[in-house]
Amino acid sequence: MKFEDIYREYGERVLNLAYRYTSNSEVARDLTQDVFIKVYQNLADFQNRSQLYTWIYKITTNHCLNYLKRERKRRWLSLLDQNVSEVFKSGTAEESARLIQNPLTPDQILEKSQREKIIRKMIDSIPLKYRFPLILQRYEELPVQEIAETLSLTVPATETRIHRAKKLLIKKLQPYINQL
Amino acid sequence: MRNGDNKLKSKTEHTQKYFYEWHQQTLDDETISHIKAHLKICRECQQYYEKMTGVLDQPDLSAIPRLTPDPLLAGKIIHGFEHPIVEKKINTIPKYVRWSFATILVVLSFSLGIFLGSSTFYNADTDYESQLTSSYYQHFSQSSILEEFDQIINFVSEDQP
Repeated sequence: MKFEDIYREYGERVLNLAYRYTSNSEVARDLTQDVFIKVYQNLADFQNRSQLYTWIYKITTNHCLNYLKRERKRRWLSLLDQNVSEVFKSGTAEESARLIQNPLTPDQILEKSQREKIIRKMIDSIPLKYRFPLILQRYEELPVQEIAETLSLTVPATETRIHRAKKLLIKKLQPYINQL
Repeated sequence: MRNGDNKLKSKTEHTQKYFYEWHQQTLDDETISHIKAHLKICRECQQYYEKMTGVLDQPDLSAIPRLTPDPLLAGKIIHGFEHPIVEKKINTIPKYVRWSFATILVVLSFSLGIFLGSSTFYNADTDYESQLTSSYYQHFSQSSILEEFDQIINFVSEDQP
């Protein structure tokens, strides 16, 4: 399969998967470009041991995971550089606090009253190891076997992570049940 | 329930905490019948179950925007690999060459300094050269004007009665 055909076939899926993982369209576009550069470089080595889209999904997932880990580290390091008052004033601190404890303010809920947007925000606050399999199942509608292959996990481990992710999601959505 | 330690005591007890197990169908028959009985009389729990079932079973994918990829990206990537941008090399001298050159310069500077210092030392080999040298240094060792002035004053003061 030619590279242009692969991009035509999977470009949109990769872009939107990266967008689901990162919730940032600009970052998703940059990551998509990196993913396809990697695909182009390694296309000759692809041995057809797995399906092409599983291979591309794996590259995308690893790339997004690395990005999110780097970003999380950078965010915490930037907090260390600020004094306490700056931390409480800054958006970074608000964002961090939001992700840790109180995911949405009432005003934000009024603004984003759509159910899926609230759910999406809650999914973003779930730890990465549970979030990724849930996204692959919920938004990409992949079967557990393929999620396991994409994440290099066993099927039981993948199922456990999806269960935990759903439980966490339900717990996080409880305060917003009236807005759903 | 699967563990059997968390059974509902009555049908009036709220059932929200059993939702996930109920949804996954891992509860025992007795608990399920309690939940069903409770849901018939409790509007709050009923809404909760309906909404959470919707959350888990019916993701509204249309609510989240879908991005359109750049149609030219594949071409750009291929072009980028086929015609790589050659970066202009600003610093062409390797680091070790620069350091070696600096070390040689320092050693040469020291050597030149030592050579110049040693060449200023004069060796008198013959008698004539020795006399010349001693008269030369005598010239420098002559008494100063102040010393001469002091001698004149002393001389004058000795003459006085």
